[in-house]
Amino acid sequence: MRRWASTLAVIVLWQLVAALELLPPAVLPGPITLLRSAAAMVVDGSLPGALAISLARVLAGSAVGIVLGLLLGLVAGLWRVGEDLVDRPVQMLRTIPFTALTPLLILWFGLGEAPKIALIVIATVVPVYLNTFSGVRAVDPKLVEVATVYRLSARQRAVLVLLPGALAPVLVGLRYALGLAWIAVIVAETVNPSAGVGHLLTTARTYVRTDIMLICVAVYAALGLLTDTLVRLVETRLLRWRAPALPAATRRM
Amino acid sequence: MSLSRTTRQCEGGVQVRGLSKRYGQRLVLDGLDLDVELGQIVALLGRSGSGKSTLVRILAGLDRPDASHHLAVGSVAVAFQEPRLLPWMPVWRNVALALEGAGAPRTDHGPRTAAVAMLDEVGLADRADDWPLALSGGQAQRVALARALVREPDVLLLDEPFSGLDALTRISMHQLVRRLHARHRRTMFLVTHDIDEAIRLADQVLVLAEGRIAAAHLVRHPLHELRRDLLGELGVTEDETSRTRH
Repeated sequence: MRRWASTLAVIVLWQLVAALELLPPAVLPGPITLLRSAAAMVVDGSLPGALAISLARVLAGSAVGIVLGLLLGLVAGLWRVGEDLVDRPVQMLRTIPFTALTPLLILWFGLGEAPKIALIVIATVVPVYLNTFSGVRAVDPKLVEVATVYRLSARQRAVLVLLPGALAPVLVGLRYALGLAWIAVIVAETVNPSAGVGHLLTTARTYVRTDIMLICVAVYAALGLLTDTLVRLVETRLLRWRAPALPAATRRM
Repeated sequence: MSLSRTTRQCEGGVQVRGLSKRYGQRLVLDGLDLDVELGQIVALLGRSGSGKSTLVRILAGLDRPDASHHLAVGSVAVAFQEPRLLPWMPVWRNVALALEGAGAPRTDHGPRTAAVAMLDEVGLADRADDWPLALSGGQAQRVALARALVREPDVLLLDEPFSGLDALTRISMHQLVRRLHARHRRTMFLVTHDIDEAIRLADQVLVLAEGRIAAAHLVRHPLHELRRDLLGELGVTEDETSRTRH
């Protein structure tokens, strides 16, 4: 509770500023006004609708990007030839600020969903790739030797030793990727608005609806926090062997 | 020069002729000959850097020899200096890992039953479902022994597996190894720098120096004479001898 004290203080101060009209409402509406507007947007369906569209884009784009990043990372991590083929192009992609690609993607893919999804794919593939690649390479060679001594097949070696050994960095990559996915969707939806939270945001700017704009920002923040929490949950579940206070139970793998 | 790596050719022992291995400028193994008889425990003593671990790694198939006229080793399993358990698998799965790869023995009642039975032999059946990181160093090393034995290898290679353990744990590990050997009669090849460990466990003690087997002794009484001879062959001077005997 004590950790929230300063946040509460800021909100109270903010409401005070708004109530005393120290700033014009068009510049900074108070928290109570915002809550009222948000409630209205939920009731008329504009907020849930926009939210669903943005969420769907992030899910679609990051699903593709994450799977692609995992595969590329595995290929580069497991085989030298794979590294030669994959690493340089992805490293080059990494140096490009992906937001700079937005106009190009619109030119190539038109104004529909495709350029938005493509931008999210590009944003997410890089961190997942980098962490998978270095994660696989960083697996303790002494453990890999165990796989050699017991003559595990290439598939068994990948599934039983390398992938689980690389899991912690892969999950870090996943968290980065989802954070970037939200940035990508914001850029895509504000540069090229057609439905979604970004569309709501740009429309609100046209009509100087500062309250709606602030609500959109808050929604983005909440969604980012939500995905981050989800990955953290997955992380504690998958990496529970690292803090073995509890027995692995009678689970049969 | 014919490099042959044969399985079960020598009926469970080890036979090596003319094995050499060079790391950069240094010739670590220099035309080494080695015979380990079926069912025996043979200890290999050597100072650090003498090439003991290199020899084990070659026997385990983890390193390639530069030249070998003849290298015949049965199926092998290794217990390394560190337990090398996969921390993301429960204890029993680590043991069952040795039942997964090529050349693994068939199990009658599934891998879990076989793994737990072997864990029971090292006294850890009740830890089968724990994570490896929850084990002590000695327990983890016992699991590593169980993993090696469940493979039913012709030759069990032990690469200083007790050197990281405290003195009391080491003594109970020695007893465990003797018990396991009495029951399974596997050929064991123990690499160590601990003379007392070698004498306590082995039927035969070899000394590795200058890249070759410099001496071979059957363990016999009186042991203190054998101990003195071994110290001399390892190049430990009279001075060092008196210091180590406290």
